[in-house]
Amino acid sequence: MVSLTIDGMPVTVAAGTTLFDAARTLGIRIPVLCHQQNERPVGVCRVCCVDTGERTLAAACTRPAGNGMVVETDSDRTKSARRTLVELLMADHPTPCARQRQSHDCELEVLAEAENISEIRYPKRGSPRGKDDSSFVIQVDYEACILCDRCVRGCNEIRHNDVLGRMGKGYSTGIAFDLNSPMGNSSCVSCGECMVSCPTGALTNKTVVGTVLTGEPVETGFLLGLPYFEEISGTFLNLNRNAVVLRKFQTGEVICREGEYGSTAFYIIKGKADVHITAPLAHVGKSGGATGFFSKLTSFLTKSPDGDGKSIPIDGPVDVAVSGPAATLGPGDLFGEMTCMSLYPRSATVRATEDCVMIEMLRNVLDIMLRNKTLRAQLDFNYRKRALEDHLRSVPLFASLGQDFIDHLRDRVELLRFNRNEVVCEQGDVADRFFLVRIGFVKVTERHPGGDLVLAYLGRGGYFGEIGLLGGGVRTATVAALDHVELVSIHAEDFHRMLELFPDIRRNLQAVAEDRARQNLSHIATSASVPLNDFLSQGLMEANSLLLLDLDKCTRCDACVRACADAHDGVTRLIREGLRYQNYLVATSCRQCRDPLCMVGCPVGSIRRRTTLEVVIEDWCIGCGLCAENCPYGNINMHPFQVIQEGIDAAGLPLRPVITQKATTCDLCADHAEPSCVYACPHDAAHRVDPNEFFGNLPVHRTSAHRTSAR
Amino acid sequence: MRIDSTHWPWLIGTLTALSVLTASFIVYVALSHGHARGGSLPGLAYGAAGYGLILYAAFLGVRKKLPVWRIGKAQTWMRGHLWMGFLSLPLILFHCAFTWKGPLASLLMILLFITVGSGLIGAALQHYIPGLMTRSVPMETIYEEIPHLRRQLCAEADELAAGINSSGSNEGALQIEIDPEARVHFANVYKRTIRPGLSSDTGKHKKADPEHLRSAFDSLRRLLPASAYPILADIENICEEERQLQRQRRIYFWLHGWLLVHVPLSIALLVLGAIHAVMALRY
Amino acid sequence: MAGRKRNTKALAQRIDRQYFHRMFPLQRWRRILAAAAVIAGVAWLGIHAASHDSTVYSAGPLTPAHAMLARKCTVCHVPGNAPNAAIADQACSKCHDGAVHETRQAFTPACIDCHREHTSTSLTAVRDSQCTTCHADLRVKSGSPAAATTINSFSEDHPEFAVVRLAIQDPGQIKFNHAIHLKQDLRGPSGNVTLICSGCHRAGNTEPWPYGKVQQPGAPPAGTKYMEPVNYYAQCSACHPLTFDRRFAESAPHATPETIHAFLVQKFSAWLAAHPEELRAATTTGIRIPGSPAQPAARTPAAWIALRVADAEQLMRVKTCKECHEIASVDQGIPPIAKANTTARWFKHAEFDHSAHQMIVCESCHQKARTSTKTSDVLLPGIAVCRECHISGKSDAAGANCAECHLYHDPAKRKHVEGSFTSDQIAAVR
Repeated sequence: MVSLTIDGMPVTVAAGTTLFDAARTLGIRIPVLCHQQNERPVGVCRVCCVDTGERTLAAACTRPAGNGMVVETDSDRTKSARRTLVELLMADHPTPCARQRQSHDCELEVLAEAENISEIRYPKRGSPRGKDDSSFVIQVDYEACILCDRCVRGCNEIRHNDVLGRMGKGYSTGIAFDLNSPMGNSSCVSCGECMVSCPTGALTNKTVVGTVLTGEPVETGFLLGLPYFEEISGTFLNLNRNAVVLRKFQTGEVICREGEYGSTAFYIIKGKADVHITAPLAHVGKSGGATGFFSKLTSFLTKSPDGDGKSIPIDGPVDVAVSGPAATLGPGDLFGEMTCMSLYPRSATVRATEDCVMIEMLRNVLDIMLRNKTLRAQLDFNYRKRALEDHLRSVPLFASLGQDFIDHLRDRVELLRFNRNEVVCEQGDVADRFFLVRIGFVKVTERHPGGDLVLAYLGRGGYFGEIGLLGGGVRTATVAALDHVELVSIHAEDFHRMLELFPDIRRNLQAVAEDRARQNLSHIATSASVPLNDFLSQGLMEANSLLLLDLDKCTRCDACVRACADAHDGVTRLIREGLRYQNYLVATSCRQCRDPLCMVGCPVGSIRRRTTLEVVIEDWCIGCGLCAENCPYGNINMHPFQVIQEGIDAAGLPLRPVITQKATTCDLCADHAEPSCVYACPHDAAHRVDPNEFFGNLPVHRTSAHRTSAR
Repeated sequence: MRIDSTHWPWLIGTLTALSVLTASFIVYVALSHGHARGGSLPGLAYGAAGYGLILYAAFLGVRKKLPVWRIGKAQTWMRGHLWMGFLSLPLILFHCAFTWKGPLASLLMILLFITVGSGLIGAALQHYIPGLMTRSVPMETIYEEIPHLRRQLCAEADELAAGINSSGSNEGALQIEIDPEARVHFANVYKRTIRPGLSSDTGKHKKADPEHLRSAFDSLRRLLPASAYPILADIENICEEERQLQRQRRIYFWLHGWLLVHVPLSIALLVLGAIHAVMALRY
Repeated sequence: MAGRKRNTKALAQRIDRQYFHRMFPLQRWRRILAAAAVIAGVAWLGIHAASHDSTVYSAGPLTPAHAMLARKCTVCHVPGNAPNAAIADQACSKCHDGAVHETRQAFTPACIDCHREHTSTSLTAVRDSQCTTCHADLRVKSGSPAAATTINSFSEDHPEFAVVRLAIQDPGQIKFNHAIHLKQDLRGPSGNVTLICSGCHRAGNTEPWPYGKVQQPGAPPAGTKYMEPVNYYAQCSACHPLTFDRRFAESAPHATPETIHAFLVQKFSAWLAAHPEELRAATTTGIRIPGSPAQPAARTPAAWIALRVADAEQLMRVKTCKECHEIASVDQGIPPIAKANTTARWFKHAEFDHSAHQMIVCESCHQKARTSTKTSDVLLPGIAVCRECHISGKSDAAGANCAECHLYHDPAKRKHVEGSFTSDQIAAVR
């Protein structure tokens, strides 16, 4: 602890506390421009200068309090220095800047007004610094930039997006996106952190549909009165007043629709809302074939579709069951977290069942909220109570857990939070936990000679870590967070206890472990034998299964395409276009990639692998189109389907079918013995092969339909 | 379908069947004292077998309409079509004992020969033309989409040309300094030489002379600054793609055109053959 | 590169994924042409059906004899028959007789077994194999076969002609010696003659006898196949006149003895009437044959006539008639003279057409003629002579099919077919 005197008042603070924070405890608000309380202080603007009795003035935001210091925050010396600084900054400032015009809170101009600066003694800079209009979300006005570095810190240290940096020297210093690309062309993900950090109008919100929050503004006082905003800095809330609004909904009003893009989360203060997904349409259930009298011809040849996956993971505190997809949210529930934090599309439709009052917030506010201990505790509690059991049960291994044990586990699980690129566990670490994913996506990789091999992407409801606990206590893969991730962890003791109580789970786990080991060995073998350079340019090595059309035999008759469409509701999953490799056309059809980029980000987890390697899109796909965007080969396409809605509407009439978009992809006709396209090609030109085996002269397996999972 | 070593079993089976049938035919002719005809019992047997094989061959068309029914791989059906269809010719010849008189019978024989002949030609074509198409059309696409794609290519070329036309001005995205005179010349060359080759209605296409095009592009390259070369290269690439698509259309027609003879005549053969059977048995 | 991206996604996104649901020109034309082909075919048949013309279904053109029935299929293909029924014999017998071949034959083939219509071969061109089905191993229902039991072809095992094989003697009753008649320089009625075969043996020939005036015209010609029986007047009378008395130049008629007798009586009566002094003239010239009684002079004309007639008959009998006829001696009355019994046709079961062979020298086949001295010689050549030209199985030889010479339907058993059609039923369609 150190004791010092600020403006004549003594104060004792913990060692390392900055003068700014020490002054704040006394209620003294030192003006700042480059300092933001949620960021690491850098002291570039010097507006917070205080007199510590030294030769030079000290920047209060960075200077740690020293024992016995005597600090003057408002002496003439500091006042004139501050005034000069502000004047210099105002000289180049395009008064009034966009922020001042919009919300009258450009920190520089407010400060200038507070300092009673009316005329500027210094000339404006000669050359203009320009604007950048390229981003859809944020307007960049370099003229208003004061090089305070807040945005840089926000992007790099808070959001870890590492887009912003400084460039140049002297008068040509500026803030750059990537290597000075226009913002819209850079790797910026439009998270908005820089914008909310910027004190001036250098980074302001563009008026784009949907990103202007409609609703009543909330008073900071009101917010602070809510339990979860208690410990949040009022200053922060003040500064981010536009990032939080109050929304009121009437009964029956739709709060958000599945598939829409958004950037906000909702917190329910009062009222109840209904969460549901439009009734799923069976995609591949019937899988083509004959109907009526002739159905016997084909029905006995198809396997019945996989029945697992009883609940649909959504972006809220509960999951929605496949059979009766509706759940209820009430006061104290937070939903839309993934949409807000990671910009995923809305995962379900939320409709108010009573008159509701909610808070809608942008990411920065949510971020702060989530650091709030009380809220975290509430979120944990909610999760434990409502979703944990479903998640545990959805893990096939735990399906047979007794209810007592689940209740016992419920209280003993821990909720962990990870940011982008943070490693959850490293390959080779001691294994002491089992993890379930509550929200977000993680990437599971294994080190191999030649690079890391992505084994899987796991989203909400996914789990990992059990193999390490079983097999000698060492992690067999590295797991890293792809975006904002929250995990539920079960400690090793509880895990082992579970295995003791339920021996069949141990047996199943061991079988999975052995199988996975075998799979991985074969992966290593195949990847070592293929001439890499041939594949790299087309990325064929990434594929587990390619649809190759032998162009020397193919008569371009479209029998494959028609067969595919016939088997899949008239929508083809294969296109006879693409690049060639040797004399084959690599058709545009799902490649069962090792690193399935399509799966990243599905808000409802409908695109997934079940127990085998085919990528399937389950019936509850909400048509947001993210997977189609992500697939680099264009193998996933959106198509309108007519969806029958069950139930009756407000007038008592049955709901009419709606046309919704759903994503479609090739599933290797998993419920037949052979893919329909290969089956229907009359010229022996269509082949589904593993490219590494096929081109690597290894013994060729049949199509990968029945290979077990890579997990 | 290519006839390769995987067809051995079918070839052997067909040859065996053919030799057995030929032997039986020789015996039949010898025993019939020159009265071998379609209406005799062996003649009817040959005729029925031949018609059955023709009918089976026709079922390939039905099979193609039901691609998902698991009733045998399409390949197997195709092999059956080729070999059994071929076998129907000798069977019908045995049925009629190599003579055909009478209007309907002669017509049926002509239809049969043309059908089997066109089928053989088609099968032969399928050995060479897919490879030809693969080699000579690297930018091949889906035949039915060619008109659609040509419109896209036109639009793309127009956009690129507009880029050059409006470069240097404030609204142009391209910041290349081009002489106004050069710009006008480019516009002319584009309108007169390059663009007509790209656009035309789907049927007729005026084949752009590649030499002419190449010299047009060369002249443009001399005229325009080096910074415009990438755009010219793109337009040239579009023209090349267009030329390849036209080539694809022609080759595709060769690959599939014979079906215009084979399919209609085979259906006529089936219908008239059935009538022939009924009427011949009536008398 | 301003960026013509050529990667899978860019290429695939250009395509409209519903393209294959549309119908494209080649497909459309395939369907159109298929429909057109079927419709054209059925329409063509329909047009024929509408005009009741079933010739389109015909299995081939009819032979010329039946050509007018081309549109009248039901004449032979009787409606109401079972499908693919063979044409029953009843259908043929409405017009044709089809006489039975042999009542004891082991099985009777149907008409259509040998006579096939709708082919290009003639209806009567029956193949050997039709005959050899029985004759290669001949059986009969009762008794033993009348023909050789194994005949497979003419060249191989066709038996020798029965006449020759059984060495049948000519039953003809005219004494004739071919050898003498074929000598050179015979004494003819007006100088020497050398006879040729066709001088006496004619087949339907109306040319006059080349060796002198015929005493009486011969019988009318009887067809060109077989040689007409030799006729006295046509072929013999010029050199062998029936002179009977020095008083008369003309010959006696070649007729029955009674007719000759009457003729002689009439002749002598007329002579006596014209020359009454003959009654008293001496009857002898001084030569008297010892042993024979002297001839008394005739007292009455009747006696004179009778005596003269008797002399003439005696002369003819012992000299003239006996030249050719065998005359039995009887004590009284006119001796009977056997009928000539010339065989016009030697083959009972085969046809032979001399006019088809007229280019061959007669003796080339009838080799025994020049040396034949007896009437009983049958001068028919053996089968070997025929086989010189008629060789089975060779296309550049004369035909040696069974049907070349033999007829299945026994002409002797021909029956009349009563007509059953009216002319419209059978008339050709205009």
